[in-house]
This record gives sequence, structure tokens and C-alpha cells, in this order.
Amino acid sequence: MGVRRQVNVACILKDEPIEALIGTWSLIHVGFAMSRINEEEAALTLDVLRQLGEAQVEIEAMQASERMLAS
Amino acid sequence: MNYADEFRDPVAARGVLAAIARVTDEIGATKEKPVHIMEICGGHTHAIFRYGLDKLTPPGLEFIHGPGCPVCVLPMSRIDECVEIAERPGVIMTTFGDAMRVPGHRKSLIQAKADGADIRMVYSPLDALELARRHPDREVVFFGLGFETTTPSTALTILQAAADNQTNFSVFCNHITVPPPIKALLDDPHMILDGFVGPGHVSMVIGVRPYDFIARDYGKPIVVAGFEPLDLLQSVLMVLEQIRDGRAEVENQYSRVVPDDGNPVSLAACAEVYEPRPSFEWRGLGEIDASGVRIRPAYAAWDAEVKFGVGYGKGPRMVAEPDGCRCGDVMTGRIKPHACPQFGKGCTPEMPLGALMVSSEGACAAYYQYGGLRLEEAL
Ligand code: SF4
Repeated sequence: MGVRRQVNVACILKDEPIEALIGTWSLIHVGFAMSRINEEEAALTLDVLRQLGEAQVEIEAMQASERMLAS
Repeated sequence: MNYADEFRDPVAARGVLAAIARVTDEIGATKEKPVHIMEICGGHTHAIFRYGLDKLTPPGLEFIHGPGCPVCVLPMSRIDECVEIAERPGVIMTTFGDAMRVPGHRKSLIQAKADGADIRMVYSPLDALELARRHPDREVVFFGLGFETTTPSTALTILQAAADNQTNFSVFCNHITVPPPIKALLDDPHMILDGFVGPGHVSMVIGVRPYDFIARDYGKPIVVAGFEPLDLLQSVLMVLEQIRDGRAEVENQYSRVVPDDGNPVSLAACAEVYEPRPSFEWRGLGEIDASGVRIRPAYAAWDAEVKFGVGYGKGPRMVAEPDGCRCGDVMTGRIKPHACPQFGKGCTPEMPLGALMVSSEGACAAYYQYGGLRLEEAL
């Protein structure tokens, strides 16, 4: 699946050979790579989201338990 | 990891939605007295409707759909000028597909094409430049439009054309910038906004500092957001938390893509090729100071306005919009799309009257496509 296409990487190359990009994820817009995905930042954001999700699962379990005991 | 699926996780979504409901409550917002959050970017408007986020969030939270859909805010006069260039003998006009159906006073590009103009859809301005290489006997023009996300791509393409001395290529530049219309909205005395979800892809180019004035001068929170459902929900939560805590800051939820300082290479290319226009016309909003860019004289050889003698200051400008069209009111959040008398009647995605119905990023098209009408009627 997917599309192969030549993209211009001028915007995301720092002082490094182009091979440095192999295996990295980038955001592509109209034929230009515009930003390299920062994997550490992605992991941090996901952590916060997961914690919110886990907290909610726990709250719901507590509420279900309370309802069960009250009935 | 592909940096998309992870941000659609339903368990996490439940958690964020519960937190949103909690904080909305803590603010004391209700259906009658809701908190108003504007998502500036059309991509966010689309995502809100596509994933039904407006139905999942509490009634005390209302989304106002901002002006960040580039084809929606393109004034008719610019479509007219584009058609005028496209109809010149020898010209090949190239454009992104979503600009084809935007109505002009005389006709849209798709109508001009049906009438015989050589108009072609391209994915990238680089493809337009390639077309110029293959057709040295023709004038290839690229209809450049879009916000800061897209501006670097045409700047880099012009730089490439200049380096190759490809003189049968030019750009009809309609690039616009996000901060000025936000300032105009904030200066509107009828403004009801409590906070903003900021445009992530614009910010990957310009960074987050250009929004400082929103927090500093107007005391409103803004959170730069990604485009997956969890990105949006988390950003909304962050805005609500700021409101609850009485803070007004620029925060960055989309830090995996948006560096605080933006992209220096893109910014340098834009600064080299473009300069601010004194003002630019926005459909539904009128002229806004310094809200657009034009090609610098040094690159005049690639400026379609210079080459074909059309554009700003060259003849009278018509600003009138079609009768009964309320695009401006929708865009400033005064009315919801279905309150426009033309919605779903004189104006549909197949036969758009106003530009908000043209692009999938337009508020009216999103409402139409994803059943906003039915939902609102049900309430
Ligand atoms: S329904 Fe059509 S005319 Fe009315 S506001 Fe929306 S786009 Fe404009």
C-alpha cells in the first residue's frame, strides 16, 4: 500500500548527509518534507494521553463497584 | 508506531473526554452559557466533524470554526484574475485540485477549463515546474495559495526555477498568513471567543511564538494542536484547563511535529522570495492589513502578476459576494452553517455558492457531509 514519490528534503536536512534520514518519519506536504517527527516528544505526549485513559478506566471501575454495592 | 494510530486509541479518548467534561463543569459552562473555542485551521474543522468530536464533547463547550481554510477565504476577484490568466493564449494554468470549483464572478476554474482553457491539477508546485521544462513553448503558471504551511513549497520552487533559469514558469501568488485575521477577529467588538486551538501544520513552519500576542495582548489561551482525534481532544482539554486556572499561554500539544521556533530553512526561503503585501482581501472578512505576501521584485520574472499585468492595484476591484450568502457570518462564528438561507438549497458541495462549501475543510461542507444539519435539528 501507499505511494512512492520523490520529495524535496531541503527543509529537514541539518548539517548531515542525506542518508541520515533513512528510517526516520517525516511530515510531507505537496512534495516537500516539512518536519521530522520527534520521537521523544511523541512518546511524551502519548504518555500523558495513556495516563488520562488509565485513570478513566479506574474511575469507571470504582463507580461500577459503588453502584453494585449500593444496589 | 506510525504516529497516527496511536493518536486514535479509544481508551485514551474516553479518558480525555471525561476530563473535558469535568473541566467544562468546573468552569461552570453550560449549554445556555457555553465556553467558545475556535479551531483556527480548516483541517481541524474537518477532523472535528469527521470524528464527530462535537457530538462527544459536553454541551457547555462550543466549537467556533475559524478562517483557516485557504480556498474558503480566497476572494472572488482572485479567482477572476486566475481565470483571466488561464484564458490567455499559450498559458497552462496549474493548480491544487480543491481550488478548481471555487466560484468567481464570471466562472470557476473548472468552468474555464470546460470552456477550453488549459488548466491542469497538480499535486506539487514542483510538478508545475516540471511541466514548464517539458513545454518550453508554453507559459506555465502555478496558482499558489495556502497558509504558511504551503508558502515555503512555492518559495523553494521559485528558487529552483531561478537557479535553472526556467523563465516560462511563474507563480500567481495568493499566499496568506494566519496571525493577522486572528488579530482582526480578536479586535471585533462582538467577539465571543474564550480560547483557540492553533494550527499545527502552519506552526511547524512558523513555530509557536507568532501567537504570543493572543495570550499577552488579549489574555486568551491558545494550544497548537495535531490532527488526530486524540491530538484535538487533548488540545481542547489544555485550553479548558487554562481557562479554568485563569491562565493565558501559548502551549504546544503537537511538539512531535512543531518545534517552538518552526522550520528555519522554510522561513529563510519565504523571506528570500516573498514580502508582505500592505493588505489582502479575505472572502467574508474583507481587506486585512499585512495578511498576504507577494513575490519580491528580485524574483519578478517568476511573478505571474507582473508577467501578465493583473492583480492588486490593476483595475477596479469587486468585493461583492453572491446574494443571500452568509459566509462571512459563518466564518466569524456569528451563525452556524445551516442558518445560512442557502445551505443545502442554493449551496451544496456539488454546486457551491460560497467557498465554505467548496473545500472539505470548509465549515459548511463539513456540516453538510457529516450530518451537522441532522444533529442540530435533533437538538
Ligand atoms: S451555505 Fe454556502 S453560501 Fe451559505 S455560508 Fe455556507 S458556503 Fe456560504
